[in-house]
Amino acid sequence: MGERRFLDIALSAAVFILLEVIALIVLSKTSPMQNIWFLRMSHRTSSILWRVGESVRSFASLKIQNEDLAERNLELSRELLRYQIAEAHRLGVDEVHYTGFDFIHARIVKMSRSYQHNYLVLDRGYEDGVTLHSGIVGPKGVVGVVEAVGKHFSYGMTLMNTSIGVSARIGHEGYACTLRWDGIHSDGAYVEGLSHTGLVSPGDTVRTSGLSSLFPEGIPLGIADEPKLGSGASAVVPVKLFQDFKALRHVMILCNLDSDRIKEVERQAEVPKK
Amino acid sequence: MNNKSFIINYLILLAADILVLALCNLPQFLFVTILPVMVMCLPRSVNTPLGMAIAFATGFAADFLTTGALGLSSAALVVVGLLRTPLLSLLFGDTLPLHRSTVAFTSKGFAGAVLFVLIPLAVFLAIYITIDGAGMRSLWFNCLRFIISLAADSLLSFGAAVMLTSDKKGGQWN
Repeated sequence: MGERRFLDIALSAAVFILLEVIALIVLSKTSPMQNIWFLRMSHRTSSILWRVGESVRSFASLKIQNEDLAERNLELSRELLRYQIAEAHRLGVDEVHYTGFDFIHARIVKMSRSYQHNYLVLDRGYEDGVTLHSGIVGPKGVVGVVEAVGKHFSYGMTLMNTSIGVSARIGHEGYACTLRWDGIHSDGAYVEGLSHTGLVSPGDTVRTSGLSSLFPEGIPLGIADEPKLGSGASAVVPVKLFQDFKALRHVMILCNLDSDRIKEVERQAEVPKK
Repeated sequence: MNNKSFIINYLILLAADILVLALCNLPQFLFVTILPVMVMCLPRSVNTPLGMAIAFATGFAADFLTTGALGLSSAALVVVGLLRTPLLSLLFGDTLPLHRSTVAFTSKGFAGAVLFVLIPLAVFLAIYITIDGAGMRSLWFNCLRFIISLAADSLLSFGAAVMLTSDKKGGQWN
C-alpha cells in the first residue's frame, strides 16, 4: 500500500515536471518577453546558488587557510630572525633580540578559560623539539608557558592564570615590572612592581623585558590604562592585553636554545652559596 | 452524467472560453477563464497524471486558438491538475463514492462549493498573471487584475461547474 502510494506520487511528480518544462520551453520560444524574464530569473537564481556555494566552500576551507597562515607566520618569524642576525653582524652589535630562540608552530588542542588557573594543551611534544619552560606566544602577544612536555603533546599554563607573572617593561623609559592576569577578563591584566604612579601614562605599551629565559625582549603584551595606587606607595596599572584568548587557535612555542647553558651557570652560582 | 455527455459539455465550455477570449475585446484588467474549474470537474476516476495531461492539452488548445502566449495557460493549468486530487480529498474527503462519474461539488454546502471554485481559480490566476506580466508590470496592476478576474471568473466558473457536474438523477444536489 505504501509502495503503491509512493509510486503514484513519484509518477505524478515526474509528469508534472515534464509538462511544466514543455509548457515553459514552448512559452519561451514563442514569447520574447517571457523568454527575457526567464533568462533574467535563471541568472538571478544561478548567481544566488553560486554565492551560497562559494560561501560554503570558503567556510569549509577556513581550517586549511588557518594552518597555511600559521606556517607562513612561522617562516616569516624565522626569516626576520635571520635578517636581525645579519644586521647585527653588519653593525658589529653582539646582542640581538630574539636570537637564541627557535620557533615551533603548534595548534591548541584544548584550552580552558573559565577557571582561575587556566591551561592549554598543544599538539607538539619533545619529538618536535619542545622543551620544558618554553614560552608560548600567539599572533598578538604572550599566551603562556610550557609546564610539561610529552612525546607529541605539551601542557602549558596560560597567562589567564593568577599564579603566573611575566617579566615586562612599560613606558618610554622601560621600567621593569611584572604583568599578571586580572582574574576576570580574557583580555584584562595589570602590572605591579612600579614605585609610583607617575612613571606610566595611559596608552603606554607594555612589552616583555627579556629578563627571563622564557621570552625574548620586546614582544608586545598590551596597552596601559590609568595607573592606580596599590598597597603602600606602589602603583598598579590596568592593562588591556593585545591577545584575546577567546579567539586563539594557533600559537608559536619559543624554545630557548641557551636554556641549558643558563641553567648550568645558575647551578654553578648556587654551589658556592651552599 | 455519463462520460460522453461530460466530454461534450467539456468541449462546449472550452470552445466558449476560446470564443470569448478570441472575439471579445476585454479590458487589460480582466482575464476571463473557466478552465481551472473545468479541470477540477474531471471525473474522480481520472488520476492525477492523466488529469495533468488533460489540463495541459486544454491550456494548449486555449492558447493556440486565442491570441495568448503559447504554453502560458498550460503552465498554470498543469498546477491545478496536480492540486486537483488533494484538493478534492480536502474538500469532500476520501469517502466520495467512486461509482459517481463526477464530483458532487455542492455536497458540502455553499462554503465547500465556493472553495471548490475559488481555490483552483486563485492558483491559476496567480501563476498566469505573474508569468504574463513577465516582471514588466507593476505589482499593483497584477493585484488589481487578479482581484477583478477572480471576482468575474468565479461567477462564470460556478455556472460551468454546475453544467459539468449536473446529474439528471439529481443525486449531487441533495
